Amino acid sequence: MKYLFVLFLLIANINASSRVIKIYTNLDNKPYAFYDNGDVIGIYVDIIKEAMRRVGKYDVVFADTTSKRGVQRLYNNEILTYMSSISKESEDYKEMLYNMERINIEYKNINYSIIFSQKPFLYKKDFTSNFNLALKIMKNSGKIDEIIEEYSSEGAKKVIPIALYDWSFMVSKELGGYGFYAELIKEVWAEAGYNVKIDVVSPHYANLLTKWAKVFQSAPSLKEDKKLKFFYFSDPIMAMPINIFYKKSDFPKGIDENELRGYKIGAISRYYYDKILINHRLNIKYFDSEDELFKALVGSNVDMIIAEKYLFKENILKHDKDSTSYKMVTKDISNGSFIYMIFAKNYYNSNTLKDKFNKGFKSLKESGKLNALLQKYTLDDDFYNDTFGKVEGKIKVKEKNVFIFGEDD
Amino acid sequence: MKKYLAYLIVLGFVGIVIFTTFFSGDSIAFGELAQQREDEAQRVDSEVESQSIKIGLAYDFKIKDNKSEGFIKGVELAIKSINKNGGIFGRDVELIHKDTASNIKSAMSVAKEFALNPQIIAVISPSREHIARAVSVVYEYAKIVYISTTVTDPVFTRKDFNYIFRNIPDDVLMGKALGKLADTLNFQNVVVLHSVSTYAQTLADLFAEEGMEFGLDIPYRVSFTDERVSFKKIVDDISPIKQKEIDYDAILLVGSMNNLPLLITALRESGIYAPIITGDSLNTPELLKIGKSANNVIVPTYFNLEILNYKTQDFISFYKEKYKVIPNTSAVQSYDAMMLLRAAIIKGKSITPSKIVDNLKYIGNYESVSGAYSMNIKGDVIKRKIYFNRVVDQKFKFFSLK
Repeated sequence: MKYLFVLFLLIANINASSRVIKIYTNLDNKPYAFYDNGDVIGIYVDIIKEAMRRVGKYDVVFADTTSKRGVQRLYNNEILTYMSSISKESEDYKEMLYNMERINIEYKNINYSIIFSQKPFLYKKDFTSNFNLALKIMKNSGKIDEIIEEYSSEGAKKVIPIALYDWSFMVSKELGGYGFYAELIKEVWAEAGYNVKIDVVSPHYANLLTKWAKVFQSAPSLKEDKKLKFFYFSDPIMAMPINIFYKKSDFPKGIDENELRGYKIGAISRYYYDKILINHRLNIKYFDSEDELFKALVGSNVDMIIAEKYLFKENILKHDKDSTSYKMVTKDISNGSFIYMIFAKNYYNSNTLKDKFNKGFKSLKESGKLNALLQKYTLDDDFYNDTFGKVEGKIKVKEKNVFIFGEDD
Repeated sequence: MKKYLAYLIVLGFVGIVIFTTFFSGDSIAFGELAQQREDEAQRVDSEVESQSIKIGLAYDFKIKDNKSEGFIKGVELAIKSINKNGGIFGRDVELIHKDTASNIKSAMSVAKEFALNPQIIAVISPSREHIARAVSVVYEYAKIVYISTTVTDPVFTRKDFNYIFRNIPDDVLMGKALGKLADTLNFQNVVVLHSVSTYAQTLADLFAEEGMEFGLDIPYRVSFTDERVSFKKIVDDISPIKQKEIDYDAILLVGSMNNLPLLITALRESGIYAPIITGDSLNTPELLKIGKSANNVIVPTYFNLEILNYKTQDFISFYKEKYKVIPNTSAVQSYDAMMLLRAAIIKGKSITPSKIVDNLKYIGNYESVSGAYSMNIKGDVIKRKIYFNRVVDQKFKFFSLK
């Protein structure tokens, strides 16, 4: 790729006491420095950020300006440093910048420089020396090539590997597009500029693959200390309350909701809610799959089962045509279970990808694509409000929708 | 205890080899030769203009892999740099190459040749452990400074020898480093697979020992021979697809390049994508030849390409300019061994071997191209940092543990 020597003027204002370097630049200069969903990114920007990270003394932020104004402010000592392209510096500016110290950043077709004003800068000497060394390392180690590659057309087509597991109508190999939730994830990554490759595997294997940093995983998940050691969590995507369900005919007089320990309760083994169940100290009988679990409830092989509130109806209908003969214990035993995208900390570039995902999700909601997806799966407003709404803090108080079962007449 | 017994057996064997090689028919008086070497070195020390300083290089000429080429390139670059900058005390350094043919008999013959040449003051070698152990006896008695760039067995320097050194961290340091890595990455359940070699067992034991400090759990541990090529039983035992209950964060895999790439491939093909922590034997581009299976393998290295240090970066640039490739660990090791020798000579202002060893043993905070380290009285390198590379997209990437 040929990099044009477009005039690139950056004005950096180094405030020695705050350890933050504010760099002004033209932020309409794709792929070198530009806005992306409110963030400043680009080849030049990433090189500077990475070098600064290695130097370790300063944080760096970017702001938009014009070349003319930036140079003028530097010349007037209103700011301490600035950056500009080397070969295309305007003749008008050359004289103004003549006596100023500069760090040149030259690599292949990249050709620009950081220029210091005459104003004394406490750490200027160390900064210059360490910054130069950081650049040398980045050249030697291929890091600059990697950054360039990231912004090339090939880099933009990177595929994100994701593991999901069968999860009612949310994720299923039987459904086109693997179900509502799988499609939601695909759409979010598309907003972030990535394609995805989804594998639907067992919950246990999905957990291991994610922990091993082979894939990312999106599933209902609780933020436990143990998981936080291994994973970054995205912003919460949707709420997923967990409740206990029983067959009305098994307990015609109802049950004591405050004392559930005497009942035999079915649950899926090695599922994400393991930790909750331990805390509740219930008498649990484990099943290997969702299918086996619901069969056990229908066949009265257990007194109750644990299931996600909004997935119960879909699942019970596969085994019993009359979904109204079941009742839900009202208490959400998860105390607020959310679905997150989880990112293995050991996955290369994981933290950056997490940020991109969060922005993609925000953008998906704002663009109306989320609503379109809900409509495609005929999920109503109540579902939206009780799941996505909870995340946004706009939950409806009213507990009425098609997903609540066994309400007494 | 078993290790020391094995070591005594090796020493006994070495004794027999020395006896049959040197004392049958063509006997050598080591004491006399050593004295000649000291005298010759002192004579050279006292001359204003003198002959070059001669350093022996003992390695297998037939091996042409990356490690071997790196070893030669590294030391030659060091010599070029030294001589270009006026040599040592105005004298050029000259390398004398000898072929060890990777067997004890040839390596002993090479040692004998060097011992018979009073101008040789030091030998640098990447020979494997069993060869290095054998020849170390000869170099000790001939009073030639011997620097191994590769031997990691802790026993190598534990015999009160004066002239035997290494510039590579031993397995004790490596085991601790691997344990610390697991701790840093929160790997608390680690499957341990290792070959039956002393090196691999020692490293696995030290890793487990270090792991006790942070509550490491080893749900499965098994050993295998370096010649084994089928790993179905091992793979099945730790496959989460076949074993529904098994849960682990990573795998420690120690052994040799003979069959570890085969085992890694078998693991990956069975859906076991866990991070694999290995010993330094896999720190070679040969590992990358297994393609995608190598991804997520973490290998230790003594050289961090990304140190914010001018000495390191200048070395990399210098090496790249001359050989058009990035230096590998072997190149760094041999370059560093030569420069370490130079530092000891300069510190003692003498090329006399007895003075060199006195200064080598007390070198502290030596600024090498791989960072600062010190040497101890046993001849071991201490306080040398161990870094890690991780294979990502079939390339080694420096693995930051921040």
